[in-house]
Amino acid sequence: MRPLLLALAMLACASPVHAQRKIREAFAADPAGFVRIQNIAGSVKVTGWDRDSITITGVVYDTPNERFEIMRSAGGVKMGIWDTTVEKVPPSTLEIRVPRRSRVWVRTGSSFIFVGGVAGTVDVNSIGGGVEVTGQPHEVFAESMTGEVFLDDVRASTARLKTVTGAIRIRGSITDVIATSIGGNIVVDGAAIDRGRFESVDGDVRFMGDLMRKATLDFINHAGAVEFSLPSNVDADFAVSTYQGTLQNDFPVKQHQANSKIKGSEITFSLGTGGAQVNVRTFKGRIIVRAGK
Amino acid sequence: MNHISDIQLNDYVDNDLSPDARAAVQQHCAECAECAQRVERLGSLRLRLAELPRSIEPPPSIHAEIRAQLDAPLRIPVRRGVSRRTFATAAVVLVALSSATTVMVMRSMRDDVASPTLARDNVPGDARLIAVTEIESRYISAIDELQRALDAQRALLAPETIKLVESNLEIIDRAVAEARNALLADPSSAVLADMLRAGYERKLDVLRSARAHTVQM
Repeated sequence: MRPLLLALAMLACASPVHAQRKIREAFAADPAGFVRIQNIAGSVKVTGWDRDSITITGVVYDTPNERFEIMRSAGGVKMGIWDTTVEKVPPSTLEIRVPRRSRVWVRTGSSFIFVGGVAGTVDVNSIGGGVEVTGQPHEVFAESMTGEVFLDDVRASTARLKTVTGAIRIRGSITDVIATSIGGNIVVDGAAIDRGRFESVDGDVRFMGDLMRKATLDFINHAGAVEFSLPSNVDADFAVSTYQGTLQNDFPVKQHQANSKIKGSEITFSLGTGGAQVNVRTFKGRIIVRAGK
Repeated sequence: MNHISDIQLNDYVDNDLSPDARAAVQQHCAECAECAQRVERLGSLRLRLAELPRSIEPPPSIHAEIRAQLDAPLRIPVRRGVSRRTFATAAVVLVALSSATTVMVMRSMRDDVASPTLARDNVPGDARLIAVTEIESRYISAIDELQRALDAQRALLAPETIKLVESNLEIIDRAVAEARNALLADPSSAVLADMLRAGYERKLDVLRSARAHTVQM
């Protein structure tokens, strides 16, 4: 019996103890203050509301070295736990309501992040968790290494989106977008964008839907494809350059070889009466322009 | 005397401390000239930063000017008294140094990197080298700096994150090498110059992202 007890005691000492706690806090807050949240694993849901107060509910795990803390100050509130000494942290779930004009900053390890209904700047960053933003934030900065970054029906002036291998999906109406990835696909699905730059190295970039008449959109890819699914009555001017890639254009329009002196292809063509300026550059990725209905 | 940490001083200057913590900092600064001086410096820096414009719009003509420069044929500036041969040798040395720096930078994270390198037997003309080195010179030092900062903090990253960063840097390196070799073969191509720049930008992105996850709130 003694060896068993000894083994159990040793096991207890070897494993970090994670103390579970339920959180339920509410306090008055600056209507346009900052809210900074850190959570390693689990989920963080931030929702803007029309009250000058913050509520925090959820279940958190303290580690042997750190406690989940909420620190209030004149400009806003910081909360979270970021103990990098513990290998596996149990998932903490946080649901936070913030004044609509708050400036929200969230950083997580593997936690999923959702931010909705916030009108201030949203700055969210995860290593492995997905990120979803909806509503009308002033600006969005969203980044995940392996998780998906999804702007769902977002209306914003600026969006800066980055992933390493995670996909990026954009829906909504955004004045100025820059979306970059290394291996993740970038999908723009029914979004109204005035200025956009979409860059990948290995992932595919897909644009589906209509183009704003005065839009300027740049698509850059090294090895991945750049694909467009456009309505048949779209008005746009295309400038396509590829070194080793190919161009497949389903629209029955005349194409012009812009520069015959260089290797590869530089092709321009107009769809409809022209309008939106679309610039596509790939090294060896194929370029496909499909005509929808 | 224990001095106040940088984080706390920054929070003090940013007015982010609770009233109690703020009072404690004020009391300490009343007795500690060194911390009082640090507060003054931070306050002055904050004021100067506040005076800076939040964003600067480039002049409307900038894109056309950049495009014109990219499209213009490359001219090789040869200084009087320096032979083209000397210049070409210097360019080769510069490229070799630049490539060596890239190799060293990448090897500090992984040993088996396939870094963009020049085939010595096929060293192209100086104009071609200039096209590549002009682009690389803008990025190498920034990459080097970020890499060193990241190496110093890598213990704060999970092993799988380090692995992810390394494997994606390899993907980018392959893309950079392809764009680089293509640009050496075709130095007047604006598309290839763009692809090379884009490759280095993505490399900076990955390093910056990884670095961001080592910084505490």
